[in-house]
Amino acid sequence: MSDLAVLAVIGAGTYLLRSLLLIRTAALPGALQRRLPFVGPSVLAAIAAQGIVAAGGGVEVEASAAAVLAVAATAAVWTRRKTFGVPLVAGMAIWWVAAAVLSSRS
Amino acid sequence: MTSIAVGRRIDREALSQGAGVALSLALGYVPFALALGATFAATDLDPLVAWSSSWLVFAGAAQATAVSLLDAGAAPTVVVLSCLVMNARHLLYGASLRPHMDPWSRRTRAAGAYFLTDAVYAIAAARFEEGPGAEAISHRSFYFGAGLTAWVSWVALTGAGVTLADSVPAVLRLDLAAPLTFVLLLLPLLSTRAAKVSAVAAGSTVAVGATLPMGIGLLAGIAAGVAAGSLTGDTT
Repeated sequence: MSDLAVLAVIGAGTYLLRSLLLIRTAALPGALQRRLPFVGPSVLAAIAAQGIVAAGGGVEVEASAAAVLAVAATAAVWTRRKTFGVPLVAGMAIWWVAAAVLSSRS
Repeated sequence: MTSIAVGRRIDREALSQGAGVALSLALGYVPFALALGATFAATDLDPLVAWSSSWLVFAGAAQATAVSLLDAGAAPTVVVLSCLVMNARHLLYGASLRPHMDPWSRRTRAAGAYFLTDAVYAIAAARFEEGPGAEAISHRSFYFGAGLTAWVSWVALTGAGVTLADSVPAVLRLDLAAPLTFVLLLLPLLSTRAAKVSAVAAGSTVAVGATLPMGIGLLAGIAAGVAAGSLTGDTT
């Protein structure tokens, strides 16, 4: 099996996973429906946590601490200004400063 | 209504809003996409074949896994199964967005499924939860605006990584831009106690299992979050 064929099979399988429940016409089972409201918060928190823990390229306490400070700053600014850009810029600025300070102390 | 409907098929304002959010998220993916492209160029695989995964698979972590396993000489079955386990979470994305896409035709939902990556799911879920009463055209335009922008950005950035390979400069660290964007998409969804419990459980599980393979830790976090939210039980 060629490399391209393997990638094509993975692509087809991934598409199947994405489309299976999206295109079905029958209603989803009740048990699954009751859990759906929690998928969004769980997915977003999981993906964000993954990036925060691994900020800086690996799992390192100082890099993660700087990232946690940046998240706190982003959330604090968001509670005052419910926009996208300003909290993001504030969080990134805090991250750059915190990462520089923490790395200079080590 | 300020939006402009073209033949009742496209809401241009929603389309550009979706594209805008996807662009800001793409900015956060620049380092990863360039690095992934450079990895494609560094393996024994044909760089063009490795880069093709960007439009064939369109899922960064699975692409990285597939190419590194193929480069290491792993059996095709192992490569395929590893990547599909990693991407199993996409099944939930479809289930989660399905009720919001009810008014869409089956063909449109089938086309939309191709774009259902982590980023596009996050953008769509946040938008659909915030405005469940919006018109179907508006939701659809927003979704495809975000999906197409994410796709073009991803294919172009990984292609740039392959082309530039080792000469990619590390001028500005943007690694945290994507996680912070996901935080900003998450915050408006934390309106109930159960949603907060879900988010805390998912995030904690991922943090504790940080050394697990990328897709497995993520899947465990999502499962923990959904279970914790369901046990808490209130969605109001």
